[in-house]
Amino acid sequence: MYKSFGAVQALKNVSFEVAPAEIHCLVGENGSGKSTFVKTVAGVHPPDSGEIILNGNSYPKVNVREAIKEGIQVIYQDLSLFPSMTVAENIATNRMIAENRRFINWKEIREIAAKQLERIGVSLDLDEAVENLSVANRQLVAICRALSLDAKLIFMDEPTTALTKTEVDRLLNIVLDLKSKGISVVFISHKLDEVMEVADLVSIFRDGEKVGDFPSSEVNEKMLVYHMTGRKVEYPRYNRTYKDDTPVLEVKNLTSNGKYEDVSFTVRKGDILGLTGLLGAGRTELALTLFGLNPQDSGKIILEGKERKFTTPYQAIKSGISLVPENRQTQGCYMNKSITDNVAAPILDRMANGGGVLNVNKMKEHAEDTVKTLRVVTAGISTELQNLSGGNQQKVVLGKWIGTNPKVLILDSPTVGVDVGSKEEIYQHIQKFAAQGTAVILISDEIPEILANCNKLIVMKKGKVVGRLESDDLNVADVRDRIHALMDSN
Amino acid sequence: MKSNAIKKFFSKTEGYILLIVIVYCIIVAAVNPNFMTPGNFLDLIRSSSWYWILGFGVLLVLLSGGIDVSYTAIAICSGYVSACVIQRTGIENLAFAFFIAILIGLWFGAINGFLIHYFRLPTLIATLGTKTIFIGIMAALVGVEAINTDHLPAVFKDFGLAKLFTVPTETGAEYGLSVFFIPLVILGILTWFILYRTQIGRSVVALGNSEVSAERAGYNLFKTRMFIYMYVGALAAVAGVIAISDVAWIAPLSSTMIRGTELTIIAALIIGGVKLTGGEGTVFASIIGLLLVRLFETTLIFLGLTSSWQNFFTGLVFVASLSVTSLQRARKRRRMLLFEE
Amino acid sequence: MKKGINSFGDRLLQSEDVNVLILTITFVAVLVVLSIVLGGTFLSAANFQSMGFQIPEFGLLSLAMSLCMLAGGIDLSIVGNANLSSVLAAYTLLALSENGGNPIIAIIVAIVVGLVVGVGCGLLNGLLIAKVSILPILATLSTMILYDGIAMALTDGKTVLGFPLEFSKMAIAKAGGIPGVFIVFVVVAIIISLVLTRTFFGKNIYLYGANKTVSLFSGIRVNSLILKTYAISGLFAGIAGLMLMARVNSAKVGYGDTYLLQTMLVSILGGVSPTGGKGKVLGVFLGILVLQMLQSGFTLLGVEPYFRNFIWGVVLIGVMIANFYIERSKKKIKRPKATAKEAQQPVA
Repeated sequence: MYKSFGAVQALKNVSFEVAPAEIHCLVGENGSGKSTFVKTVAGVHPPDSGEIILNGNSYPKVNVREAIKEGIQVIYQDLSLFPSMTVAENIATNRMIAENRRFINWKEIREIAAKQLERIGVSLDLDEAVENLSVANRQLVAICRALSLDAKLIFMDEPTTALTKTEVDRLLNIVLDLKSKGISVVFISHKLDEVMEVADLVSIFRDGEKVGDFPSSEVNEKMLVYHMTGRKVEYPRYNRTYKDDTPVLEVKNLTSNGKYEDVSFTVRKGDILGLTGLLGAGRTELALTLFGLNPQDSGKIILEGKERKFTTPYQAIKSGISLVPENRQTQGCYMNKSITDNVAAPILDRMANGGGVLNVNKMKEHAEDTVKTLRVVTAGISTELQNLSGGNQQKVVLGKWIGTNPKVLILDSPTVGVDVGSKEEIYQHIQKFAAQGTAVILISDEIPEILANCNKLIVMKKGKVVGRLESDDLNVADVRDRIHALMDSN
Repeated sequence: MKSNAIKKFFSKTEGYILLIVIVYCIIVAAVNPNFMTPGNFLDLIRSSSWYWILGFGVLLVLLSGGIDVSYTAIAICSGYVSACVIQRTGIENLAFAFFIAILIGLWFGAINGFLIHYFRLPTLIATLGTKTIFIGIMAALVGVEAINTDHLPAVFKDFGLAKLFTVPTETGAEYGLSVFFIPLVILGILTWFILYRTQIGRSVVALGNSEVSAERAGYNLFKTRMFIYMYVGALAAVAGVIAISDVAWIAPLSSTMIRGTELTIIAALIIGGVKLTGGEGTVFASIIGLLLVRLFETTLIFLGLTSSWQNFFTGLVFVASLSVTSLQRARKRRRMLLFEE
Repeated sequence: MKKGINSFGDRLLQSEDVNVLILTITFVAVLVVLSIVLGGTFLSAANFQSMGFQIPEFGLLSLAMSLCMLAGGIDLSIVGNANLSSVLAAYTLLALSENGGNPIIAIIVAIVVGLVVGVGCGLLNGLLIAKVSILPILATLSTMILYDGIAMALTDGKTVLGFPLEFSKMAIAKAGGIPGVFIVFVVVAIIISLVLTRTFFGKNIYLYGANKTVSLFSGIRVNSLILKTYAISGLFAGIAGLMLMARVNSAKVGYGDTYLLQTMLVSILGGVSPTGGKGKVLGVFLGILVLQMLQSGFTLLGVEPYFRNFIWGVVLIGVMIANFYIERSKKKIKRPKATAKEAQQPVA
């Protein structure tokens, strides 16, 4: 199989080939064109020029149906399932559509589903609604759906982000099994991933171009980052210099039933406490409790010596706790509002006089200040956020929360979808802010990010704290392996 | 095993609405023994049949995640035009009456489907606009004069009075099951069949589940949307003919018979357990939801209240029922820490 | 970011003011055309005065609808609320003025009752939306039926009339030839416009309408915001109900039923985004004027009401289609599409 492109915009002269029974990794930063590439091959976007050769048939462009007929299947990151429909129907639907069926034979649907599940050696309740399944099982449903269409080549977009180690292993076994049956799999990723261990080849994309193909044995984090960004990146390492050791925030035996239990920690001024663990470890849930959005069932939150209980973010912000939420697009910022409005949102009351009348000049000044300090690249403060790049959007979000002058700043995955350059800048801002005396809690699943920024680390797993590392522990050479071991421990 | 299935049924919205219907009937029967007569029930079926038929169409729209408020206008237009055509041509044939009406219903539905698909208009606003456009088109083409019982073609009147069977009562009068029951059952089964046995029906549910997923799965959403709104149009046309036959007159502009019921019917379906945001809902849910509303509309008199109280009770039940389901949903979402809409 | 490429047209397209500009041009155009076609009958003081009497009820209801739409919601219950307020005010007025009571006191108490009922109904909407988490469209649909039902049950569908003479005098009061009710409407419109553009509360409404989740995470007190918004909407509905009652000198369920569609039409025509967060009172105000001029023009021309509605429907669809094309061309002048798309990929 051979596909080539000569498209403008997001893809520039990309040639990419996948052999039968090959496991291929496609790596690149956000915006490097990897998603566009997949969508072009799958027939969602037509290429501007170039050709796509599938099984020896050449196409100037393919449509979705042709791509499916040639055995191309894409499993998007959101999985594109139908939540209220059953497992069986989700697996069989695409095949029914491809075969142009008019009527539905439920017996046949169940048979197709059962057969595919058997093929990958998994048993799921065929009549369960997909919305009631775990993320890992939903992924299996998506794989079965792809297989039901006699897929020859399956693209999987970031399949491991939401999986535990055991689940990843199960997925890799299934993928190796598919390979032995002659099916090719292309993984798409933005970082060094477990899947690269089983891959035959790794292709790296940058700015819409392919940098090159590398055997997976040659790939390590340093060279990956180098090729993805085009330069060597060394993140500044944070050291706490603050002298005052009185705790700002103490969390004692905090429990939220079914989400996390018995979590205790202390943060002082100038601390950057890392909080890591796989999805479902309870990190975000814990942060949301501190921010008034997830009621605690027992335990104590003590802020500057006083016990607090927050039921709304308003109370948390007023008491000095701010949260940069996990999802920038839906929680962090107003995409269709200006920078001015975005950074003013949490401190609007400070922008108003006694009668509630807003001081527009004060709002503008604050926005100008934020843009300047955080070095946001923008045409002006009235620019809507949707017109900024991901990195600049995130800088605005960071500025929005720094503007509240918090005593404790919680950052939940602050560099997701941010290019490496902006990442570096964001780290500098976080470290500077901590050095000025703020207690920072940094939630992240990227170990390099943790190691660069944190002077303390808590590792969580399934709602429990499974490891604590102090700054001395973090300077040890094999610290990564230790963290991984903790995250995967039983 | 069996008791489990029953439990599961009653834990669903349609299950407990059925329970409310039964309890309400028992209360009414206890207050007024005259209520529990077969005649009353047959009458309820007759007078509610077009509500249910409209409800089947609305079910498809809601399942797809849309809201249609123009279907009552379609019902009035197609029914009225059909009556006018028969009046003027003198072709006194019931099939012809339905044919004309459905033809108009399909056309108007197609306009809705096209606007909604091609211009991505929010369904509520699009149909709010087309609602008045349909009436305008009708007025321009055939006029707006009322047709009273004397002038209504006999085919409508006969259809309205026809019974499948009749039973004489002690007082000498008769009661019976209206022929409206036939289209009602046929369309109910047809809707069920479309939703559960055809690809296009599944595409409606898929669209309501997730538009992006439906598109990626390879469904032709243009086809799906056209189908939905044309189906609603056709069903509205049938309901229009039945409603006109039932009351034996039609004043297309002032008649309050079908006009103004569009939001009530939508609300009734949601009470029955159909999700406003799409993807979930059954034929049974629409029947039971509308039955509850119709009971309030027709049986308050047995409780010694005038029909003026009807909206009061309907509104109360809506508020109460929505409160229960919304609170449940909100609690579940809060537990799962879902904050997005 | 592309810099310096954006032409003036693009910038205009991006700005919210484009709508106000279009509406102003439409306003002038309609005024000129109707003046030419109808001449003196349209341009007469009497015609403008009669428009001044008709605008306020409908205008206030439109402002109520716009306010809720700006906050990302909708209020279908405004007409039902207006009816219930007027019916209860009417009963109060009758009860206090019948047996030789002081008509002025009776009128004042009745007005207070009408306003309190309006606000109360609005608060109930707010409670159902904020505390019970019912979707705005469903909550207000239910209360629309409920408020209507209460008024219907109270009046048994009959007209309530027999108000003291002073009350109807109040309805036709004029100051310098301008109808009093119109002045009330303009004052209310200016106040709400200032509140929306200049105050903390107004900014919060826009932000909440733009994105509810982000607002929650930004520490905006969303529940109290919803309560206030729907209470104000209820207040406007109450005032509209009182004006309607004064104009026709009676109260009855079903008055003003045709207004509901038109309030939504005017809100959208005036540039309020149906999904919330964008729009201006000035736009809605201009929309109301345009609609009323056309309305009066049609009446003078003898156009049937259903045909008027037909035109509103066409205009509504037309505006939405125009918005569709404007949005699409806006997207085209943005940064490269692929990166924007990619950034929208959900994280989990």
